[in-house]
Amino acid sequence: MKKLGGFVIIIISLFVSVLFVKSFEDRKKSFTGEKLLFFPSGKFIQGVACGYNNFLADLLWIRGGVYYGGQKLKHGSLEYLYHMFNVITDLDPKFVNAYTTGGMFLFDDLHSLEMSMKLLDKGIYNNPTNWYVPFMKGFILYLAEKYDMAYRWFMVASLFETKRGMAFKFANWCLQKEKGPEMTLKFWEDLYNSTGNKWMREKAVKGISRVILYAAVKYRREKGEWPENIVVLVKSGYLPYVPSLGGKYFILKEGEVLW
Amino acid sequence: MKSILGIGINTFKEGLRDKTLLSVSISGFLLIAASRILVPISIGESYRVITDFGLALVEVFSVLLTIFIGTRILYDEIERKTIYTVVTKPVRISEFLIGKLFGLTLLVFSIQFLLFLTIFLFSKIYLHFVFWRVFVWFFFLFFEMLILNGVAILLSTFTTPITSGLISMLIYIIANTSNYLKELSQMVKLPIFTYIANFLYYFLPNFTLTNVKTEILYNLPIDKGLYLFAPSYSIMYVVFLLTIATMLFEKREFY
Repeated sequence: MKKLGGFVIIIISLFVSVLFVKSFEDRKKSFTGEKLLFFPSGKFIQGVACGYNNFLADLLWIRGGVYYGGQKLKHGSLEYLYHMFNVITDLDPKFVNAYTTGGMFLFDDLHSLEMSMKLLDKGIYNNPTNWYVPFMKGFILYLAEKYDMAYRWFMVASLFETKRGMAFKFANWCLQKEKGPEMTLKFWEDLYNSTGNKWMREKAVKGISRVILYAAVKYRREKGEWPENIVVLVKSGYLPYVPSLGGKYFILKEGEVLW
Repeated sequence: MKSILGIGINTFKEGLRDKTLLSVSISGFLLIAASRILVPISIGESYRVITDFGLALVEVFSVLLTIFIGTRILYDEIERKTIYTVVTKPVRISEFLIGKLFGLTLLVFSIQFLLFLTIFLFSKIYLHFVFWRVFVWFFFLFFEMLILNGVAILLSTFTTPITSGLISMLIYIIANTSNYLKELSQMVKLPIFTYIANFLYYFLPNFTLTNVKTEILYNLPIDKGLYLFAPSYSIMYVVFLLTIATMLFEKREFY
């Protein structure tokens, strides 16, 4: 009898504790959006990092990826994106990818040119001889249609670029605005081929699709009908060539771009 | 010299039999291996993540080994009364402590080296690339751990393992953040505070000067003077620690 009583107590206590966990789990879910409210400043984390700055920057980089992906999936707000990249780059001021990825996300997803420029300026200050940060700044300025400033930053990037001379070519193209689509396509292709970053690759696909769609809309406006395919756009001079990424070509079907 | 070597090798063998060593080492190997799961979520930074995690884990487990084993190294000898087998022989106390430090350093170094080989193996498997420059960091880490081993031995001459473990951990944290003491002394305009902060900055071990992880990771040049500074500084600091430890240990009753 005593044994049975103990057994019943075990079952009941286990059941009640599971119920507690279940009810608190639901309550906690409603707070997930505010999790990053308590994210401390980079200077503070630097102080308590005990020499493990790079390690912590990596952890936050992964956390940032999870935050970005999670918010994108549920179409949530990305208001802490700048803070997150700011902290990562406080911890590791040489983390170039954090500046460039952050700069692009802030501009493209948060539509904040100001924050994007602020992060990239910090990147240029901390990595004065790196060509990629000013190059990305130039490209974002180009996307924001600030061609004059974009040209200047491409020129700055070209001063530090050692091998390819791409930044200089981009600076030239920027001056000749009519070659805009070609420059943009080349940039996205280059970005796609040079990064293993999944999100940046998605951006490259999206970027090229936008260029094609822009050309198609222009074609429709001028010719009164949708172009049959991308080759028509190339032949009629609306696109410089048929773009491809990773050996896969883009397709234009009834006003929709597929890859 | 012979007695130092004998005590050192004996300490090393004794350390190998310690269950703490086995559990800490296995955890280290498993965690380094587990860094593989971070590759898919590292958003194109797998090289960086694997290297950083590996280096940080080697350092953390080296510190844990020093704290768990180093702080008990003399305490166990006294508790088990095995120290009498040594003190009855013509061995000086300084030789005994140097031998203990040698054994502990050899033990920590061996585990560090094995953890390092694990990182190399995993970088080769996951990234198809071996980053040889990491050995430079290993050089600096060795001298940092030498100082920490010295601190652990000094503390174990007069406190219990728990207290010396806590103090060793605190000293490790201060040593890694001592640059803030310097900054603080410049920020606060109170003369007495500046003296205290400056005293602590120069008196306590300083690991911030030899922390070259960023330079290693980004292939940046390292000040050549550091290669000379690290061994000379740590040897001088260990001499300082062992001298105090000898003076304190000599006061104990078994001598």
